[in-house]
Amino acid sequence: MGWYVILRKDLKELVRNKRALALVTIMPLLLFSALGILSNYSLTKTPTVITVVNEDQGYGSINYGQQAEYLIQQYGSSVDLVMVNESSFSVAQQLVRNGQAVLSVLIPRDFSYLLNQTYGTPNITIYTSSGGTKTQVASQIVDDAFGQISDYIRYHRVQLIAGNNASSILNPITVQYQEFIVKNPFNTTISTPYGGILPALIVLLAVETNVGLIVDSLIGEKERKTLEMLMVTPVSRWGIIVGKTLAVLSVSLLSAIAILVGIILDISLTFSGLAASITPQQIRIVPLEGVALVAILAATVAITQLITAAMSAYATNTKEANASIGLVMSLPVVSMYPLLFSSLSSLPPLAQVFMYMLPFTYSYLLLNDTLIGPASLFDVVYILALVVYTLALFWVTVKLYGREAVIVGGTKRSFGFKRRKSASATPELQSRDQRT
Amino acid sequence: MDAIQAVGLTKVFGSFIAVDSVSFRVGLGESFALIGPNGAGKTTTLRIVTGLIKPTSGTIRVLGGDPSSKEVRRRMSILPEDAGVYEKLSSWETIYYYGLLRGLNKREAEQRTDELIKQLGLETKRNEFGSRLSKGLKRKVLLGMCLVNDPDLLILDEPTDGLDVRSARNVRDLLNTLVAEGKSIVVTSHNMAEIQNVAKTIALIDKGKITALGEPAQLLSDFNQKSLEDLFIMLTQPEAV
Repeated sequence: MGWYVILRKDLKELVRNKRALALVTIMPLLLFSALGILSNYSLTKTPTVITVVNEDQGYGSINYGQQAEYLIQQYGSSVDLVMVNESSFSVAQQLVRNGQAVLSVLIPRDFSYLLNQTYGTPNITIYTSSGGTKTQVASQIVDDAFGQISDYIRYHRVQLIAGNNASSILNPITVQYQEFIVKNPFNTTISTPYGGILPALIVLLAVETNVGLIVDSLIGEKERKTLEMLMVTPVSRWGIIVGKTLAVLSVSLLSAIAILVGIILDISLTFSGLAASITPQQIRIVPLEGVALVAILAATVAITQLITAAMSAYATNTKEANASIGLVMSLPVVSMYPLLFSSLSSLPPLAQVFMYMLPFTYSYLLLNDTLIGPASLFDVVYILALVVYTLALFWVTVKLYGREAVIVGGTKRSFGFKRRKSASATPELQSRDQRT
Repeated sequence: MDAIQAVGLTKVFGSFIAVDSVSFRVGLGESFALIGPNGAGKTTTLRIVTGLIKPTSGTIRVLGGDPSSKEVRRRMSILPEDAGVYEKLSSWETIYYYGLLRGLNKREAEQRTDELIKQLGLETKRNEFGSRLSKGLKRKVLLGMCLVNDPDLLILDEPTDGLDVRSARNVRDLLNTLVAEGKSIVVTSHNMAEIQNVAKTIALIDKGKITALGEPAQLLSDFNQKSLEDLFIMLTQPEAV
């Protein structure tokens, strides 16, 4: 069992490399914790600014514009919303453009007057930038404030016409909601604005923290001049690659567990304190799901390492091999970026084919289904795809490391310029010499 | 059965002929030296002999079989010219690791490693990591890695390169002991005195071709030279710039 001997030896070396070990286990915890703290700070400690230009002159003793302002402040108190009154709407718009405010509201002069007319419909202008969690939260607060005033006015107007029947006129149908909650097989609940990008973050971190280990394991043997002796042992090339990859994978499993703990830390920290009111639901990862997540991460890391190993097979030292790491690290970004904004099926056919060719696409989809759901039979296909990719990459890596160039180095640079061709090497060469 | 039987070995890299119709045989229990200037084709020849690379043409039989077969590899070892040791393994662990890789069981590997640590004078450096060993000590550990499986054929590319005078002599003594025990040894070296001391048969290789082959005394007589160094100068050309 030569592969097992190599696995144990490499594992021993990896464990003794304290710096690398810390990088793959402690770093995910630190990075995710930092991310959680920063996100929480961003959501709660930096105020969400709304500017209100209230031109409403009221109607008699009633001023609905002031009521709207009051309601906005009330609703916004849980998310540290700051409402700033501006006299000019163009100034308020400029504040949004500058990023100093997320949203600007213009309440017209005749707001209260028109609301008091039976058929009056005043226009509220809201100027906002697109996207962003804060913008979404602020928009929701403004909608809720004006929605409450609308409800009151609507009821008041109908009551003027229909008296006590106003309620039945306004609510002719009683709707009873029966909520269907999308669940994955593990009954997880992660319903946060984070949901979509979390799988991508996990894959990226798993790839980034583990990608260098295999380079040191394989190319390190070459650089330290131990590969040649190793290759003259009875252990097959398959055994060497399997042993080395499994050793690195064992450490990567530790890393995957650290990443899993990191995710929980990240989300818990992000939506703690004041921010908890934005997302009332909490992360809850059941044990079976934890195992699935670690397995997906381990497969992802194995693929990452095999791609790196295959790509660095032509390198003569770790410096050259490290050049391939950047390229490998960009692959998960390429495969996941389009999926952050749309589903795979909504992409053009050629883009879909391209995405299906990238192994990290399957990692992302599986993680997405595991964490957010819903799971489907496609997940089985994704798992098979990852297995096929792993085996194919094993085969490619073994073939690449089976080349003579791995032992003798680059043929052109080492051998092409030093000596002229001899005229009497083999009969074939002799005849070739004669021809030329 | 010979330890090595090489017939018409040729290795071509692109348009470059590294080894050109090389033939030689090494008998069991025989010590054989391959000498030649830098870039003459010695290392390539040894790599073909160990099965690391395939010859473009010609045949190679080692210990009666294919050098890349498991059976043959269990019975031979190679010490490459610039081989290194593992930085995060101790001297003992490194030798023991190679014992296991070459098919010894745990107990055999442990026993053999203990013997070699003593034989190579590494007792005080037994638990020292490879990263903390001097060049000479690393070379000793490498020798231990080669000897741990008690090989029938030992191939050593510049075994005393970088060693001090005492350590180099110890290695030469060790090689002579191994030959006396019936092991076959193939050695390359730039140290002609060492070659004369260790090898029974010499092959001088230049530009990929063997230009002289025989016992040292016979070769000196045939070419009318006083020393191997003179013979070397006479039969080889300076390395191309």
